[in-house]
Amino acid sequence: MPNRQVACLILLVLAPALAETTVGGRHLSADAAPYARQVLRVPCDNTRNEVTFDHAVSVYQRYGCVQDLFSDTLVDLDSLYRPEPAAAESWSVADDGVTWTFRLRPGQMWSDGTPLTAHDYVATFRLCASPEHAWDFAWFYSFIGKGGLRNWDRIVAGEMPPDSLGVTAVDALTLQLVTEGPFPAMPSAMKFGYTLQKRALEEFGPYYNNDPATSVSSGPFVLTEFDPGYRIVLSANPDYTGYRPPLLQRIEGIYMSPATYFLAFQRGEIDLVGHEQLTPADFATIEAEPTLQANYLRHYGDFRTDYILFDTFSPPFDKLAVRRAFAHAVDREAIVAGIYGKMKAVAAHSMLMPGFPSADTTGALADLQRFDCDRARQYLAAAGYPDGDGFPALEMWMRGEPPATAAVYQASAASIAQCLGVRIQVSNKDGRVFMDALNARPTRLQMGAVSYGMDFLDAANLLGVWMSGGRHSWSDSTFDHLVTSAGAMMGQPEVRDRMFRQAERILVDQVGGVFIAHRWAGDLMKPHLLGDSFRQPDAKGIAGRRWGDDSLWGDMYIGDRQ
Amino acid sequence: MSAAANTLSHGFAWQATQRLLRNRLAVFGLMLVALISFVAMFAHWLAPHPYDYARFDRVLLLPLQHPEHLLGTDEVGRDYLSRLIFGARTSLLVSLLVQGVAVAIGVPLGALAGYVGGRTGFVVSRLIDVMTAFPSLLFAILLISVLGGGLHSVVLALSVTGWILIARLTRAQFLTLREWDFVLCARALGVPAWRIALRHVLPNALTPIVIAVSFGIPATIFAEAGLSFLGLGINDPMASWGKMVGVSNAYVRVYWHLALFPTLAIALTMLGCSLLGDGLRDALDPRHVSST
Amino acid sequence: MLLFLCRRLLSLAFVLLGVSILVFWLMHSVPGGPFDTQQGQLTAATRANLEAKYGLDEPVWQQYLNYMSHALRFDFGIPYQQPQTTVAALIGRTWLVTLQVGLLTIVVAFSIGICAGLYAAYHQNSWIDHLVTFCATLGVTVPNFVIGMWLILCFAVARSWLPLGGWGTSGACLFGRYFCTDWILPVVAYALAPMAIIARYTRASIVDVAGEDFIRTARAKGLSEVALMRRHVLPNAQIPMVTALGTEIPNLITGSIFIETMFRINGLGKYFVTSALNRDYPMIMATFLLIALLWGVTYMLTDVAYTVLDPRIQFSRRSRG
Repeated sequence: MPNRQVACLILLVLAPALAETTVGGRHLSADAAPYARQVLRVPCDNTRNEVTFDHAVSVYQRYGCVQDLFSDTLVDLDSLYRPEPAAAESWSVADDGVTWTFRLRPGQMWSDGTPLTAHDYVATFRLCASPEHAWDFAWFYSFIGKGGLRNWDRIVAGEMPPDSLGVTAVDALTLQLVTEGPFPAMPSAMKFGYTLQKRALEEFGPYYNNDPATSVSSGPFVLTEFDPGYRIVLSANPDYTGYRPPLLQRIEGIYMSPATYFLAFQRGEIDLVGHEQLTPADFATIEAEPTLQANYLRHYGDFRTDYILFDTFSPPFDKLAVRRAFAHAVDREAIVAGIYGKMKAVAAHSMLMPGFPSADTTGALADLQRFDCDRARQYLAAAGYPDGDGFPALEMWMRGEPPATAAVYQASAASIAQCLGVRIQVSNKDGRVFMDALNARPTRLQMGAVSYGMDFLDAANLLGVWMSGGRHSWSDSTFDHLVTSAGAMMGQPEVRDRMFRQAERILVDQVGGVFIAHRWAGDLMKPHLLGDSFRQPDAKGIAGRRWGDDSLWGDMYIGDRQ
Repeated sequence: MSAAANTLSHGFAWQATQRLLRNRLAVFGLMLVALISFVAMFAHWLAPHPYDYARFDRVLLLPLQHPEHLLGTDEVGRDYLSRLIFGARTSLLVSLLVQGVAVAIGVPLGALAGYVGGRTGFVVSRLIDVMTAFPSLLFAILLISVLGGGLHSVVLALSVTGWILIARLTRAQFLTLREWDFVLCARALGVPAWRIALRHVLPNALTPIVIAVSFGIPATIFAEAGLSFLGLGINDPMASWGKMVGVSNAYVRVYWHLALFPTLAIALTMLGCSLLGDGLRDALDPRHVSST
Repeated sequence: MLLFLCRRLLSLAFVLLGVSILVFWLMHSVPGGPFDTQQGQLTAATRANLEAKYGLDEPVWQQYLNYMSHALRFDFGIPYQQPQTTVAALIGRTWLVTLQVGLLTIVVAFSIGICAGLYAAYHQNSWIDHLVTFCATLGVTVPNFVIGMWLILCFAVARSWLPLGGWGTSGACLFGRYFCTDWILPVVAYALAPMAIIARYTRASIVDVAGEDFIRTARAKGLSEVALMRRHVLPNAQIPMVTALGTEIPNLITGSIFIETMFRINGLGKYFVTSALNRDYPMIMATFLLIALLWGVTYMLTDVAYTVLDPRIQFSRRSRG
């Protein structure tokens, strides 16, 4: 019959177009594979200890391969690391400098049909602060600005009830956060503004996302299959109304040993491997093969810096001359070129990696810890140990480092030992034993090699860890004053920037630490993994996933394989 | 009687040595062990470079890629041959010490449990049961904080549980052998128990003990490497074969030499000790005692 | 025999008690608690809350009594690493898989190992004998990550003959989820070292007995080699073999962290290591009690085997001489 024939004809014509739309109604581009093949396969680490998908439940024990996709954060970070609207469409701060108001984008829904409201955020923050939950990231909200979120510390200590927290819902779409002291970087810090659903929390407890039956999502994906230790499958959320509707149909997390990620990648079982699981042998293979090299996309990661720290309150490192001798004795360039590899790191002369706000890009600080063996020896002689005579034998501790990083730290120690003629042994300690010794007061760690990466994008973070009373046994009152004041300063970005640079100069000049290298992060991807946000180089010429840029989940798609 | 006995024992030692030297495999094993011990003792003179001297422009060189580095360099730029030579020191010392302690504790305890029997044997056997479940990893971590690193900590940590298998094997042998006719005869003659155990039963019980020691040597070397990864054990830049093998894991797909040479060294050591051990057992076998 | 078994089971209970005290004391003496993380520190208040929640602020002897009173009711607590499940459930689930791996490895390692040892002993000092010794040496000294890596490279990456990992979850299977292709590589990698050990112990035990006088006598009396082997050599060789081989069994059925992580097997093996490193006290206690139980039963069974193999051996007699 003619109607049926016409209908068939229309269907035949439209079928290709129909196949090329996502569940959210977006159209795939011409070079994309059919929607049924829009599946991203990622490796999950089967040696890690993981208990939850959600940031608000545990930060250090998340299912790392598919974390945090069940809600949108309040803000996202753009290619210049500036906060841009995500779940919140706008924000403002009151004149007192401590009251922040975030207005939520209207129309956001949970996958069970209920609307997303500010009350969900409030319930989440209260959960994070509650002593029974004992959130492992609780230190963060007492660390922002001077004093952290209002009443946060007292609630965590159990002295006040969670509902006295300085996080309230003015109405269904307006969230208000109050800090104890001014904290201008608050919008960036809200990159961690994830939310759980209030109703599900009350009904099922914080682990409600571990079961597809009780899981609810306001993010681009929902949980469809959960077989921990084997497979996790997320599917695109058809009811998603947020800022990053996904082009992918499914994400599959396959559990395997990190030692076999690259093997699985070569076999075609997974589509991407992060730099941390690529061994030096893998990097050698990547560098030798043009296709692999072209698909290794470098990015800043979390601006991680490797450095050596000292107990500057006890001999021999209480003498500045000794520390300066050590700083000038590390041949960073050769170590980075020979051992780290230029793909993985760049030599560091200070704490802040070029590219980070307030980092030194002109080389003004380069001279202060530059490799100069003669100068190093002079400093050591001036300190009373000519040619290393009489200098105590040292043991430098590392914190459970994998072999590649351990090699870098060992090389640094060897460089110092060979240049100055001192004896340094290196010991790779169990992580908890290391932290136990570091955090003891007085510290039991005489010399250690560690790395630190940022928690949020502001110099107040990376310089703040060097303040007195923190994890580092180094103290300088001018430095403390500069970082505290700049950290709290509202408006006047140039003044703030100048103060941070001054502080960093003090840190480098007074050798709070000997800085070795800044790490480049990166991902090795299959050629068919496409998306402008990470395939197109940004203003600085860097392609690759950026820390804090979760909008890529709305941008990533699988290209048609040749 | 005693003069004759003395002549007998002097003859026995002489005959044992002769038997050992006639056994070609045992001599091969002896030469291997002697060679490795020689290398360990004279490491300072034999090694072409200092084992801790690092050159960052000569990192991860393959064997013969550079004329100065016969076996290549490691991941920090240190000559691998030199590290292998110095590693012999640590590995041999640790493995021989730990096995020595294991024999010194395990054999008497096992003999006690197996030969004496009764209540004493029961108690000693249960002691062995408890120690089998000893948490050596936790104990090692405890030692890190109490004693710090170093050779003595390693030997202590590994010795605490290293004797158990040998004790069990000795016990099993003594349980069997004490019922054999020659023991019954000796007992009937009034020979004291300790003498029977030492002079008559023990030489017959040696076989599994010798094998356990020969397997124990690579096991100890790798256990020491495992402890090094926790920070207990020898510190860098000191070398040990086990640690060199452990570290090579991340590099082995391209830089195969990092795994090959220490593994070969460990294998040769174990082979030498096995062959020598087998030869010693054969030579000391009382069944070969000729009558005078 | 029954009396013997009862006595041993009773003493096993005491052994478990001894182990529990030893392990409990040791794990609380080790520095570093379960809640220290590496990047950020817990605030003092949070740590205090957690310790109160898990009862870690009480004195150690009191915690021990708490633990034992629960353990006697088969309540082994909740693992800190996986707070959503119980220790018993976690061990039950994971050990089932490890058992399968272990049992299969035992079958493979024992059968090939004993055959190789027998053959080598029978052809003592021939090239076969030397080959077996040489291979046994390699099997024990070549590190298992190298073996695992090369197996995967050869059979799973260079040629896609076998799956990269899993246990019954990938690859083709014969009966439902049993006897699958992804069983092959892990078992081969895991069995190499035990195979070497078993071959050597077998060969040495048999050679040891074969040199005895009574064997020569029996041979002189005209007994055939096969009968000789079966009636005189093997029974006497079996005592040391049973001891050595018996030691392998509990090792193999408690799994290997390396084999399980590399071949993606969700087993119990890794928890023996990760519990200690993460200071997961309930899991540490449970895993060590399990080990003690397994070894106690193994020792009991080997002792029974001794009396069966050599009827002259008795345990109940008092010491003489």
